[in-house]
Amino acid sequence: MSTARLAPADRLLLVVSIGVPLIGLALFFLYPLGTIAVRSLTATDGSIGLANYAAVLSNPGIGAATWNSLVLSAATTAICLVLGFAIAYTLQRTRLRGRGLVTVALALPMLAPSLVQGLGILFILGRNGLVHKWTGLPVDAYGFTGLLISDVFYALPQAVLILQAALRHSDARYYDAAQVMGAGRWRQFFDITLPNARFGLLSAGFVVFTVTITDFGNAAVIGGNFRVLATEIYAQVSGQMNFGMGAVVGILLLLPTLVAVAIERVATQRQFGGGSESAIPVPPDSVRARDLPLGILVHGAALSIILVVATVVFASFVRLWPYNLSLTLKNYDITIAGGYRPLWTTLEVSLVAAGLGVALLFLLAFGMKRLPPALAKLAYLAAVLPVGVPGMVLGLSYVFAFNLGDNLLGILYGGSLLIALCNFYHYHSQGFLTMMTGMRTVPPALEEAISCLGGGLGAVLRDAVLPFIATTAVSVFFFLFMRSMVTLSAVIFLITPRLSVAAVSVMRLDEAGFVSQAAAFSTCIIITVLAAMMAMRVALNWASRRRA
Amino acid sequence: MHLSIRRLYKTFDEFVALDRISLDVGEHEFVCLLGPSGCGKTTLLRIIAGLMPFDGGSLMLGETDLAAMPARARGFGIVFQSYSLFPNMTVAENIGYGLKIRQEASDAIQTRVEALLAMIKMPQLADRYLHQLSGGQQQRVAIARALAVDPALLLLDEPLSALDARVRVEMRTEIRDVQRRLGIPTIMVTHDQEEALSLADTIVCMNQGRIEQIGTPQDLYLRPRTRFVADFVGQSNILSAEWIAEASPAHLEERPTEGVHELCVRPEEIRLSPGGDAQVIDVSFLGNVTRVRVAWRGRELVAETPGLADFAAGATVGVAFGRGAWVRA
Repeated sequence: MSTARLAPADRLLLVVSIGVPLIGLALFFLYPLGTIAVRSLTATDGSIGLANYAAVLSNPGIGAATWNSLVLSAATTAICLVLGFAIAYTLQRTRLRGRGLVTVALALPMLAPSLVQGLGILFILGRNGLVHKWTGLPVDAYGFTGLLISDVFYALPQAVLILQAALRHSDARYYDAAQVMGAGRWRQFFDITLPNARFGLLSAGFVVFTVTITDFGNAAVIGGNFRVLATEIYAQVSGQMNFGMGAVVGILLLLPTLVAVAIERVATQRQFGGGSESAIPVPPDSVRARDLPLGILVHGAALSIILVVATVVFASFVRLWPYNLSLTLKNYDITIAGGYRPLWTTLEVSLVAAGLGVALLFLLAFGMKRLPPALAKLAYLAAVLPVGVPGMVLGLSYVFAFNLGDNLLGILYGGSLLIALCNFYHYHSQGFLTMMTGMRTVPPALEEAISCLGGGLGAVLRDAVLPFIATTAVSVFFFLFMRSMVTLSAVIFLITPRLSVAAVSVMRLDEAGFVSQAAAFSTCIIITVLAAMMAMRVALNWASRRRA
Repeated sequence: MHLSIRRLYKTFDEFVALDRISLDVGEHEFVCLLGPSGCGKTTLLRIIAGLMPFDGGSLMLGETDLAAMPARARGFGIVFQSYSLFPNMTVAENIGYGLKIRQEASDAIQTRVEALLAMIKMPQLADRYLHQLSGGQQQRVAIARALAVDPALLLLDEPLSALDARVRVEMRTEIRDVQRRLGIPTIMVTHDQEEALSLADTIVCMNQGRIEQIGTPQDLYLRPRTRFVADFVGQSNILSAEWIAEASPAHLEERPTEGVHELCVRPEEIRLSPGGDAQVIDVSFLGNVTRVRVAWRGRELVAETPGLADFAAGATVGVAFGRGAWVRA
């Protein structure tokens, strides 16, 4: 809607509400991303050229890491698609018991940094793990297998979410028609279920591939000598101070992600363009021959995820894993790596990221509707672009953009505000899309009625928009908060000896061999996030009661 | 005050939404903008309200030029089809909203709200919330809210379209009563010709961004000027001049000489008598009238007679028709 004349005060409010978030995007997303491109072209002696690219291509270590990353991500994608489809199908189309347990299991990996999966698998399958202790077998989780398992656990929930949405959009009448025409169950599955979910499968596949190839936490904990691109970029920058080559690897990581995001966008549009409003949902049913093997597979996976996370929590209370299983609280007495200070820093950073983020996203979504269409399209593009940028790349770009003495923005470096901003822009797209969906529930007639009654843009905001968007805003707040609490990949480049965050502490403790303390710290993160989720429930209830 | 629209022009990209519209709304007048969807009637209303800019022409209220004035400064009341009440406010808060925006004293607001609640016959529902009201009650509140600020002009955008048929008819009378009593100039958008006929002092019949005809309900029904109006307002038999020349040459006398014209004959103007050269195709009983389709001289005519008709399908009848109206093709 292009609005007619606006009063001067309203015009100012509109300019501010759209201007501030867009300047933020330009300064803390587009600009850093530009610097990474420039740095990838700048050689060590300051000349501009492709020297870094040549160096990367001829570096055997990076060649191997690229190959490893591709193989690992392909394998993870294949397993996640099969397992994810089985789980999504179970949740959506069967009446299997214990589906609630599966949902809980899938929520677990979202509550903790991605390293927790790696940590848990080491406790069970590592050189000093439970399996080794009980059987004496020379098991070793370090390397490809361990990394594959932890990546599957990490990416599975996201695959299930997408596949569930795809399965939800079918129509019962297809199945009724097929049945009337005499098609058996297998035939129905291959002729209707699978083809209907193909865009969901495509989209889930790319999402899994992307999060795996860009994940840093699992690779750092359990990768061992199995080098992947994400650990390579960290080694180049943190270990060897080779910023130019780090930038090139960052650009390389950007490519598969951007392709994946582009294809996924097309896929989702096609997927939902096909479904009609009046689709009749397919009712779940029970079929013994199908549900028994499906149940074993699905519950097996769910229990494994729970087992891994539970092991971490349990190990945090154990004196000497796995040799002395007597209980103790001494692991919670953490003094190295800054003690518990990083946890409080993370809490503060997450609150700032979520608070600032919700305010900026709200203003942006509110302003979007009032922009001329061409401008709105550009703003939209800038707002959804961050989803295509891996955390590693964003973090690195922040180093290039803000770790400068002579730059006015340099004063932010080493401060918790910059970490908060980095976390917010890392998850900008998801928050923005949710906020836009919420904004669509605000009836335009109500906004127009306020204008006609003499109310300005401020009254529109207060009386028409806020009451409808409060619930959405609360959920966006907690989304940003939770992600910010557990993210590792972007912030790993922004910490300093004096300022660190919780996920980095877990990594540092694990690196130093204090695995039990690492488990204790992870447990603290999980508890904090859980408490926040509970608070969200309460807040949402409160918000919805006020509307009723 | 008098609203005057001159050669108002509006395009969306290449599409001409309003093509040089000129229209006057008098001090106490009730004007209906009538037309099919996409004819530009809602666009025109939104431009008058100030919710949309226009590309050319002028829009004046008395001596005031509205072109540069934002919607919030115009002081008009508006009622939408639905979803325009605040779900988080009570009925009384909704009605008093415009006064609160104007920062009037709270006891003055309360007095005004009570008077309006009495007018819409809902005094006992002051503290209810939106979800506790029926659709008709919600629209009454919306109207009261629009009237609370003593609007210079009342704008109604299909206010009855979302209501049940029975409530719609009740509300029609109420809207008409209130408008008469308060004497506020009112513009209502509707696609329902019955609503327009029963409510308006003046109907503006629109089609494809142009005004087809402006006139009283009687004008539009009895003396339509274009084929579109004849077709859209009420039912009619549209008969070509060539056909009339053979079937009833006497009617040609009143035909205007310029341009191509056709004769519009309303179904109730057609009289059927037993025995003749027309054949009854079918008969449908509609309660107060009976509709009869007959084939006569190579074409089909629709006739309506009050009460029951004593013809059956296949019977032969004679056809005679009244004066009709010549309309531009």
